[in-house]
Amino acid sequence: MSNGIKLDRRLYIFSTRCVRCAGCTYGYRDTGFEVVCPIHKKHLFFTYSLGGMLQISRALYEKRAGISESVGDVVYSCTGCGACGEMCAEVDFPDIVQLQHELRARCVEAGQIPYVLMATVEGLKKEDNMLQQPKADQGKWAEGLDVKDVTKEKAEVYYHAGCRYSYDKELWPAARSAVNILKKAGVDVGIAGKNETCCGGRAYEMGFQGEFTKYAENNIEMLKTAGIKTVVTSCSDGYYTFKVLYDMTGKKGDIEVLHITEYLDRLMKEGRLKFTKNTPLTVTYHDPCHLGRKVEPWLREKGNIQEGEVYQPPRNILNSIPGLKFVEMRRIKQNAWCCGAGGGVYDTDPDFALWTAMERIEEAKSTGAEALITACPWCKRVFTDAIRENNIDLKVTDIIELVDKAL
Amino acid sequence: MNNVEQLYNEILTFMPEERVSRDEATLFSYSTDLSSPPGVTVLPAMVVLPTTVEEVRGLLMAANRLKVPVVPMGRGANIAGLAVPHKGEVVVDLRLMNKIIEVNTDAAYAVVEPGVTHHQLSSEARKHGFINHLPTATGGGSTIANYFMHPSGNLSAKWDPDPILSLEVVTPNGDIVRTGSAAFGTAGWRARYSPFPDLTGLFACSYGTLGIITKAAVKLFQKNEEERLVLTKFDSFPPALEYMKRIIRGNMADSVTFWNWVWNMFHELMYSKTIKLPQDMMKEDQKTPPPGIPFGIASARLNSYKEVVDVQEKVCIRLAEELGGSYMSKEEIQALHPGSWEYLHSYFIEGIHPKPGEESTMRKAMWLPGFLINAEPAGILALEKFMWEFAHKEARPPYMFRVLPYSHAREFFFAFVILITGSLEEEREYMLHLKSVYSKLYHELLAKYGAVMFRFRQDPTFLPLTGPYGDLLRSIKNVIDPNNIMHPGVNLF
Repeated sequence: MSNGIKLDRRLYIFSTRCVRCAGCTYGYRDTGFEVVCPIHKKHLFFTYSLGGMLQISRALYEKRAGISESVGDVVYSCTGCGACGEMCAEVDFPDIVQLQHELRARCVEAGQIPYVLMATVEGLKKEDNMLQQPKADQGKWAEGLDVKDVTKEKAEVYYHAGCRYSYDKELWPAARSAVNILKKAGVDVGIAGKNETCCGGRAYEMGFQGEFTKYAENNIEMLKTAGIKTVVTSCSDGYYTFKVLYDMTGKKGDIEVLHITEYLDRLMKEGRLKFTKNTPLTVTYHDPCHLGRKVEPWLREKGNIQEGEVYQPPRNILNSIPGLKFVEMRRIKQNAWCCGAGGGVYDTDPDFALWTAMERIEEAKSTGAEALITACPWCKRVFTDAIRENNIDLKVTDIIELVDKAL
Repeated sequence: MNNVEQLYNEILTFMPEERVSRDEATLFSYSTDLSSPPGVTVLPAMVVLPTTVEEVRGLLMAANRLKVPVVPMGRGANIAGLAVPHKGEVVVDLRLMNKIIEVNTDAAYAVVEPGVTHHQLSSEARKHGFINHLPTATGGGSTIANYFMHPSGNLSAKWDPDPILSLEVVTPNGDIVRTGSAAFGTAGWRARYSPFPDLTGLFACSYGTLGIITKAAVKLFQKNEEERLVLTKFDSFPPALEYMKRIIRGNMADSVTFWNWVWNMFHELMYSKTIKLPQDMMKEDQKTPPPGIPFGIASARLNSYKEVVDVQEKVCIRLAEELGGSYMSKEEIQALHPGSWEYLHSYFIEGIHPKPGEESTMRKAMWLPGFLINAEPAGILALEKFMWEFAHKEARPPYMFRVLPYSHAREFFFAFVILITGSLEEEREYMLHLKSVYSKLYHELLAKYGAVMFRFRQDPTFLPLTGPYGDLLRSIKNVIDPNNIMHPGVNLF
C-alpha cells in the first residue's frame, strides 16, 4: 500500500498494533493509574491520545484520510510531553513521541498549521529566536557578567541560555545565576552572547524540520569552531535538542551535553560546589518532560543511560541544600503531569496550557510545599502565569536560583 | 434535515457540545481497531461521550425514534472489531462513565460503570483486601465489557468464569432495567438469581445488540493470606489435560492453565527488550520443543490460608508426578523463560496487568489471528491432534496454544494463535486466507469435536446452527430492539 503521507513505516506498523486500550493516557501502578495525558483529560475523546493519533495516522498512511484542518487541530493540540510513551511504547517504537513530530511535519507540508505558529516561525527566521524578539537584544541577559564569549575566545564549557532565558527578563536571574555558579566552581565557561541563536528544538516539535536543520547546523558549526567539548544548558528544551535531536539527525558528534542540574550534581560530587547557607523552605519538584521521558527512549536505545537516571540530579541537589525540606508529588519522574507549555501549545491554546499548569500547581500545593521548583524556563513561565492569573499562594522557583542562594 | 442531523441536534439539547463530535479526525480515530483490514474506511456518524444513565437513555430513545444505529463501546480495547462502528453507526463511548460506585466488603462485590478498567478495579479491590477476576486482556480494557465476554483469567476454575452478579441496562425504548437482586430496588446488587428467569445472562455475549449496560455488580473474592503459583511441566498435552481435570474436580486452584512451549517464549518477549523473535520460535517443527525446554507448563493459582496452600501445593505436585509431569521451581522457569515467570506472576499473584507497552512488545511479531473454542476434555484432546495437522498445513511458524478449564471440568477453553511476523500490509493476503479458513474451521470443529466458537467473530452463519435457540434469541431481540438500532453491523442477529 502506498504511503499517503510519507509517514515513517515503523510508525505505521505500530499504529496497526494499537488495541485502543488508552493505556497511553494514564500512569502505571505508582500513580494509581491516574490520568497523565493532558489532552485526553481536557478533550475527553479517545482521539486525543496516542492511540487516537495512531488510528488517525493509519487513516492518513492508507490514504483513507487527508491532512485537513480537523486533523491539524488534533495534532497541534498535544503538548508532546511523552507521558503516553511511558505506558505504551516499549521496544517496538521507543521514541513514539516521534509520531507527533512526524505528523506535524506533514501538517507543515500540507499548510495545516495554526496561524500563531506561523508567526512564531516567521519570527524565528527573522530574529533567530522563538519569542519574536529583536535579534539585537540577544545577550542582554548576560550584561555585566564577566564571562568569556566563545565566539571570540576558547572555553572548556559552553553555556547555552536558550531563547526563553535570553528574552524573558523575569527569568534572567536564573541564567545569570547559572553562569555565576559555574564560575564560582572554577569552571572555564563561556557563552555566545549576542551570537547565540535558537537551538531549533521547538521548531522541530512544531513540525518545521527545515528550520531545525538550519539552527542545528549553525550551532554545531559554532561549537566546532570554538573547540567546545561540553555544552551545559539550563533550558530543558535545549538539553533535549542538543542531546537527542542533534544526535538523531547525526549532527551532535562527540560533544558532551549536560543539563545544568547534571553538571552541578557532578561538581557537588567532585567537591567543587558546597552549600553553606541554611534554606528553611519546604519545596516540591516538577520534572520537565524534556529532562526525562522525552530523552530517555533515545538514550536508552543508544545504551547511554539507565531509565530514571536523568531524574536524579535535581533531587540530589535539593536533598543537599541545608534546611531545605523536599517533598514529592504523586506523579513524578516518568509519570509527571506536564506543565502545559510544550509543543507550542502555550502559543496555540494558552487557556489549555494554563489549565494544564493549574492541575500541576494544585498537585504541588497538596504536598504542603511553599515553593514549586523546576529546572525549565518554559515550565517556570507557564506556572508563574497560572499562579498569577489564579492568585495562588505558591512560589515558583528555578532550581538554579535556589542553588545560588544556598551557596 | 436527515435523521443523523436531527439526532445530533436532539442530543445537543441534553449533552454539551464538547462531548458530542462529528469532527473528521475524531471519526477516523474511532473507525479502526487491530482487526480492521488496511485501506477500509467505515466512519461512524458521530461519537458521543455520555456521563450518566439519563444521557444514555436520552440518546437511545432519540436514536430509536429516528432509526439511527448505535454501537456502544466500553473502552474500545478489542482485537476483533466488536466495538468498531459499521457504516453510519453512532459510537456511544462510555469511557467517562468510569466510577467504581460501591465496593461492598460485606457481601463481596463491587458496582462499577462500563468505563472502569481492569487496572482501576483490581487496584481498588486490593486496597480493600479483595481480588477480582483478572482476565488476560489488556489492563486498559473495560472490566464490564470484558466480563460480559466470559473472560479467561486468574479465577476461571474455582470461582467460575462468570463474574457478573447483576446489571443495569438501558434498552432502545428508554427502559432502565436492573437484573438479579438489583431488580427489586431495595435488595442491593448482591445476587445473580431471584425466583425469576435470569436476565443478566441474556446480555452476556450480546455485544451491544440489546442495549447499553450502564452498571454492573461484579464479584469480589477475599485476598487470602497466601497466594501462590504452582508450576508443573509436562512432555505432552494429554497428561497435562488430565492434571487440569483433577485439579479442578478437586477444587484445588483458582485457575489452572496449560501453556505450550511457544506460548512461554511468547510471554518472555514482553520482558526481553528485544525486537527480535527467538530463532527457536521460528523452527519448522513447532510440535517439538528445543532441547531442555518442556513441551508445556501448567500454572495453578492457589489462594487460601498458608497451611492450606502448603498442602494444596503438595497435592498439585503429587498429581502432576502421578501423571508423568514434574514440579517446576521458580528458579527453573526463570532460567528457561524468565519473562514468562514475570508475566504469570504479575497476572496471577500480583493481580496486576503488565504495562500496555509490555503487552505491545509481546505483540511485536504479529498480528494475531487465532481461534478460541470450548469443548469437552475428550474433544480437546482430539482437537490437539487435529490442530497440529491443521497448523502444519495452513500456518507458518510460530504458532501456539493454551488451554484452561472453567468452573466445571466438562468445559475447556482452547486458544490457538498464529503469530504473523510481518506487517499488516505485507501479510494481508495471508491474514485473509486464515480468516477464510477459520470460517470453515469453526463449522468443522463443531461437527467433529463438539467444539463451540467461544468468541463471536462476526460470522452470521453460526447462530442459525442453533435452531430454535437462535429463533428465540431473534424473537427476544425483536421485542427489545424492534428497529434493530443496536449495533446491527456486528451481524449477531
